[in-house]
Amino acid sequence: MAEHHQVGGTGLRLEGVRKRFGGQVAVAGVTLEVRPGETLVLLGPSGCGKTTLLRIVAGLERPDAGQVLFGERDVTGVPVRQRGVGMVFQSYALFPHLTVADNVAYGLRARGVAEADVTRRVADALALVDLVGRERHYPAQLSGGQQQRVAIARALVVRPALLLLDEPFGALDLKLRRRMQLELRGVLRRAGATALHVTHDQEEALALADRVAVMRDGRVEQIGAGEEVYARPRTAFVASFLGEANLLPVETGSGAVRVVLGDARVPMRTTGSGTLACLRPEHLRLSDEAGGAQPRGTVRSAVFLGEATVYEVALGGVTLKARVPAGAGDPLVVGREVGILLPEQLPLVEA
Amino acid sequence: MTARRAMLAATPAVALLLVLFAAPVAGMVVGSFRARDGAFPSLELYQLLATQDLFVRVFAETIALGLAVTAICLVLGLPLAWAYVRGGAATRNVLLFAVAAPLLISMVVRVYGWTILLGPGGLLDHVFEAFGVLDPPRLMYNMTGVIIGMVHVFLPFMVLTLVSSLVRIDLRLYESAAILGAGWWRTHRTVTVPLIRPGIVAGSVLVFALTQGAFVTPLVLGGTAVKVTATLVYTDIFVLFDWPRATAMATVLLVAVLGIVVVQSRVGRPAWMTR
Repeated sequence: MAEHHQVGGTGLRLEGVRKRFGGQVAVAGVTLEVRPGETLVLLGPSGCGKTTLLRIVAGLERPDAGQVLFGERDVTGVPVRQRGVGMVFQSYALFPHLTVADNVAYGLRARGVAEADVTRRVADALALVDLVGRERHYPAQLSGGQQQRVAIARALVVRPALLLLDEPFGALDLKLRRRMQLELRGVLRRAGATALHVTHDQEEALALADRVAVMRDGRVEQIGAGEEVYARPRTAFVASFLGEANLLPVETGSGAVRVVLGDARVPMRTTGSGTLACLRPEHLRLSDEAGGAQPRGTVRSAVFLGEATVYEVALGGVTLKARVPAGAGDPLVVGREVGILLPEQLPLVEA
Repeated sequence: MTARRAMLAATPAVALLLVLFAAPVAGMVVGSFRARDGAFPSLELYQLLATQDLFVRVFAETIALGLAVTAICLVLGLPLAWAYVRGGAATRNVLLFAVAAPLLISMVVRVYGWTILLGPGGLLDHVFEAFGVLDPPRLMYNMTGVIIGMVHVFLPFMVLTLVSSLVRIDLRLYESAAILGAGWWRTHRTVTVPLIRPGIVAGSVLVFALTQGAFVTPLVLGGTAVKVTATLVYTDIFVLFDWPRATAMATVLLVAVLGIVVVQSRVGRPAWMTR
């Protein structure tokens, strides 16, 4: 069955793509590459240009400048319907007057696929997204998660060279969203599709992406594997958009870097360059014991989240967030003075 | 509580409709079953209509006229409604004015306006003459004139009904269709038309019902050459004073239009809408 969906996707390349709407710059010169079979997630806040970029790749918007290449083929001027991409919209955009089977068959029929093959491929696609038995339902008779899977099946059944996903889980509740992300990851792997996925949800980005491109103000601020971008963000924006971050000022001088923690200056090994150190809440350790050389702060608040507790610790005018996993010692009481232990090495980021 | 209050508020309107509309219509229908010698119930009047060629022919022609006007309104109305829905603010204003303005002018004025354009020695005759057409087609005092006049008068009802269904189509569906490889024709055949089918049915039923009752347009633009059911009823009442025959003809019209409305309620709501 899987071989019917083997698309062995083409790569995608964007070269200096720009787009403005009226006076508003939506995409300010983006050059990036999606490798064949890879899932690249465009992550950013609303208005950062990620959806416009996706629509340019689909052909729904024309770039003001730059090129869109599928493999070696320049498709910048090619109309939407000849690009052969698959797309899943946030609203799904299922045809309300067509049954599940006819929705999925739509692209095959538009391509003139013989009806016997249509039937077979629709059945395969519905099996892939676990919707067997729903063929004759109309979209309005399905749950949100089921509609979402119809949309994915409809996009994948035509074996697109490239699959585009525009916030595909945005309309689902959190629990369903996490489950659908896992399912989508499996489906994309089995189909071997190249995918460009837009989201503002950082967990979704990390869960689905082979690589993440963090966007801001129409530009790609950083691109790389999720782990890499998370561990070594280049800018303060990336550090706080992908995960949470305490951003601490640093002092450099006489060959050493010191992190400023209130009145204390803590010598630190660092990676990267910049004027701030990125300290992830889960890398900050709090010590209950009195004494010791480490800087001390006061617990301002404690929020129990189940698998961890998040503390806010104040010292010398700054407030640090610390995430302590459940079972790592007794809970700390608000108002208590604690010692602050930094990791051995921190990445530096540009402000 | 609120339902009861709403009913209370609607009472005057309902009473007015009962007294001024339902009661006379009921009286008319009942009267159409009374024979000329007073026998009741009797099908005498209907037998009379069914056995005279003139009435049968006029009934059939009236229905054919209605179907033609409805079809032309649909063909002209679809692109107009599309242009309105997809157009910018300026396009919309111009179209709205062009489509709605006729509704604001008295029907009689509009129809006489057409006589200036279409009538013998009218504007179009001069145009034909200027192009050297020696034998210009007659556009008035025949069916052609009536069709032109009715299309003008009833097109707004079709366009406004179609617009109200077109605006509800999610534009993403068109993007989906394009991405899935559908061209212009396939997109409209498989997306637009099925989604506005209720609007097409409602607009067509509305226009058809209006054509069946119209008598000013046939009277003025058709002259003595064109007879439709409504003008026969008019003549029976105001010229021949044959009220019994008029009630029977009016009842036939009523049943025909009611039949169409029943058909609409059957096909006007496709399966996918009822969940």
